[in-house]
Amino acid sequence: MITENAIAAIGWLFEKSARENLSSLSQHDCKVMPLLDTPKQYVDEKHSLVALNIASYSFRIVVLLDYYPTAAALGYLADVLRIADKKLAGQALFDAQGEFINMLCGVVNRRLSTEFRHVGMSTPFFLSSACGSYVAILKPTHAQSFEVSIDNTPLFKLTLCTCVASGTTLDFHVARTEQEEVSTGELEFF
Amino acid sequence: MDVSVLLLVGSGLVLAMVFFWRRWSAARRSIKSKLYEYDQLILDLDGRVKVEDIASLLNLLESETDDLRTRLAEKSDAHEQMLAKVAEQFSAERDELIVQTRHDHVLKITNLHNALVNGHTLLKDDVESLLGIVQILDRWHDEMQTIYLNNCDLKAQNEEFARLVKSLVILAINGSIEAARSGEHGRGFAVVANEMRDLARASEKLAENYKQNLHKNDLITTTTFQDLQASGNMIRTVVFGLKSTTNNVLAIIDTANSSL
Repeated sequence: MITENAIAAIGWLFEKSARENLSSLSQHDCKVMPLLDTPKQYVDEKHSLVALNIASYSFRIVVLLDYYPTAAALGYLADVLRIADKKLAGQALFDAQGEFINMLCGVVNRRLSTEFRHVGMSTPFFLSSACGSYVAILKPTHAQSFEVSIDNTPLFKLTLCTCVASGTTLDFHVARTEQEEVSTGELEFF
Repeated sequence: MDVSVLLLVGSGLVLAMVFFWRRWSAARRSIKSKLYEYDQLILDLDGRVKVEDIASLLNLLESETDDLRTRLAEKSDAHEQMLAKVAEQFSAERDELIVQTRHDHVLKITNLHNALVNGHTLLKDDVESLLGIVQILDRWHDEMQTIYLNNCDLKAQNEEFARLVKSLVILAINGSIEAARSGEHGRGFAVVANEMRDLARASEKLAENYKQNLHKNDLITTTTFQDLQASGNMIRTVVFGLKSTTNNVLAIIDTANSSL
């Protein structure tokens, strides 16, 4: 099982990581909102979903990044990764998405390493975005999704499936002192 | 003054004199008796101890005292010599014991050191072997890629199958239309065409389910592999930590060995 503290801590760590990694867009308004389903206009069979795992002995977090294939969203991604050509496509888009999820999960992995002695991270893998509809098959102990937008332009949906080993309880708490430094009142948290 | 008073005073004086004379006589007798006792005592002593004898005895006593002093000094010397000898013997035994104990300890520590070095070598080999998990992860990665590509092939085949089924449905509908046009003669063909259409619809549904299962399969396979990969990376970190610790232990063993 997983405690409310752990659910909140995991959500906050990813949210904080998203904000940190988008900090180069600090002049823009960044919003993080809870989201259940991917908006239909962003669902595309040919579009890829990026998956990454963070694992420890008694739990793992399956992270699914659904970066929306819109010109505006991809333009922000290119800005964040300092890629000159903002029209990301093909291999360049795969690489950019892979790098972005690595950055997102890297921050969380480092922070989790202070709570848990041993934590490991996988490499990113690409899946059809249709796979995102079947996360229940992973039998997560808890799943949460949120959407990150910049200046009201939705960038991506992040789905976090936390699977806790049976017979164990995942419980930890993170101090949110840094939240106050980043937050200026306009940021919304869940 | 008449005679009677004078007689009374005279008789009183006489009585007083008598009284004092009796007391004086008693004191004189007592002193004489004491003097007699002392004289007797002196006479007794004169008979028993002579001055010459006392001098002789004193000489004898001095001689015996000197003799005793000499013997005591001799005994003291003998004891000192014995103590020195015992101390020397004890010191020799102690030194021998220290040497023997040190030798035993060195032997034990050397054995312990050898055991630790052997254990460290085994541990180091095991740690090095465990680092082979990287190769295992690479192998899993290749296998995962094979499964993933196979899934892609299955998806492509399923999409092709779905396309064929869709064509079949259209063909069946066209067949039904043609059968209807043929009137009475086409009645049998219409039944076949309807059956074909139902089968095609069922196949279409099956293809859709198959497609969904392939997506689920992709998700499970990928995330399971990633779990293995992430756990493998975690274990690799643990093994690197073990390697560092074993090296530190060896350094401590070497330092302890060099100080022996």
